[in-house]
Amino acid sequence: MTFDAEWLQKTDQELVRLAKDNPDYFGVIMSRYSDPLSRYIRRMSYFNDEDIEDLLQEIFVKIYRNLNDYDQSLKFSSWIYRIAHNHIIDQFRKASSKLKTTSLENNDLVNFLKSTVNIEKEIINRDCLEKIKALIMELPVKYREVLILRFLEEKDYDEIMDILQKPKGTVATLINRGRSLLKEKIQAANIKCY
Amino acid sequence: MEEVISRTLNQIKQDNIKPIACWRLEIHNYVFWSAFALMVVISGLSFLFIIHLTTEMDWEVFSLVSKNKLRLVTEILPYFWLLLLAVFLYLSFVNFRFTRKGYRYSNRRLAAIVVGLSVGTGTLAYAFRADEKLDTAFKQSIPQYTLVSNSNERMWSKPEMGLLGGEIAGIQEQGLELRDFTGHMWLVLADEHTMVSPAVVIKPKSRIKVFGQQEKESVFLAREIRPWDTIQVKQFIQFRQHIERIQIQTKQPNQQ
Repeated sequence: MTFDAEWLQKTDQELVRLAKDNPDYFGVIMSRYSDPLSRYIRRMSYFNDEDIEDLLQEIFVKIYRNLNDYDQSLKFSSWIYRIAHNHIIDQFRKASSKLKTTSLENNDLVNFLKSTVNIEKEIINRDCLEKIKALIMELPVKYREVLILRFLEEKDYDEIMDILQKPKGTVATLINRGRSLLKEKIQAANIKCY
Repeated sequence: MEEVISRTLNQIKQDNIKPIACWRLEIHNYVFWSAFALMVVISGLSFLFIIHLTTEMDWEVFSLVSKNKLRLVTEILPYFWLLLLAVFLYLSFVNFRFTRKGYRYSNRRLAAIVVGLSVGTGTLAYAFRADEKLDTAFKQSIPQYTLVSNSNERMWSKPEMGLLGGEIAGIQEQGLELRDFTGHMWLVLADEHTMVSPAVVIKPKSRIKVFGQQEKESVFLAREIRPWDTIQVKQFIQFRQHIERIQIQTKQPNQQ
């Protein structure tokens, strides 16, 4: 799908304004955010590629319906991440089975561990990664979501606050507790990554 | 991802999906702000009645009662209003979180805002004497209101602690017939040691406070009798001061 070069130069805010009358402008917004959002869905959930595409389509339609609700004082990315996040959580609630696996890719996981529990990239082996994936999925969603946003999506505290709609202090507390909890779980499970 | 974008655009066009109108989205925000305002007003009114009852309270009683002062305090606290205040402060707090940017405030800051608004509303209403107007209006229109309004009546309904209040029903040779606030009739005995405030008007339907001791089930020995309304005492004191000033003024020319 190709878009007019002039359209691609426009800011998110301009595109939002134009998309209200002409949905084609919304295509540019989708092309900007489809990759980051699908990656975020993958990191947060256990869904397969087909499910992720369906979910992404639902999220984009939801974003389009709510274009008038976009608050210009927020970063546009924070606002669409918020809608995506809420939609994913709704899907979790609808899913009857407990989440037992994660779609976190090994590369993602290595970065995640490096940032959260200070395990060096070089010393992590494959077997260790599989065990830690299971531990991450054991973390309550409230910790998992902040850790993913902070260390994989590399969002700052203000953005996480706007995405999760939680006070900044609460976000900081959840990140610290999530890190500590993961460290404790790794120690308790006696997982040695070397 | 190209396919998802194309599919989504087709869906938007084919189903003629439009962004939800601004006014419909704003309803949610207006509802929460209106609910928040209402909750602040209710908690402010609760605070207003707490100030009203505290200032109206007969604090002198504590100098009369030697024992069980703490018990007396716990029994006369305006629990209803305190509970109402706590509940609506909490509801205002939670409600504020649901407003568009409510999530951005820390718990401490939000608590300070909610408490500040409620206390401010109550204090402002008190400054305009809204308590007196509401007190009168509620007494006339809500019969159950007296259950939560009269701390003094509750305070002076403790004969076992030596505090009895009510309306003079009759005057007998042995003493006064007094109907307490529950409608129970008492015989109030007085002896030569009983102090009767000069501001007291001993006549039927006059309301009085009696400090003393419960003798039998319906017999009370008075040590001190005061008028019910503190305003009566104030007026009496002002009147006495006025008389004293006149007496001084009339004496001074004679001395000269």
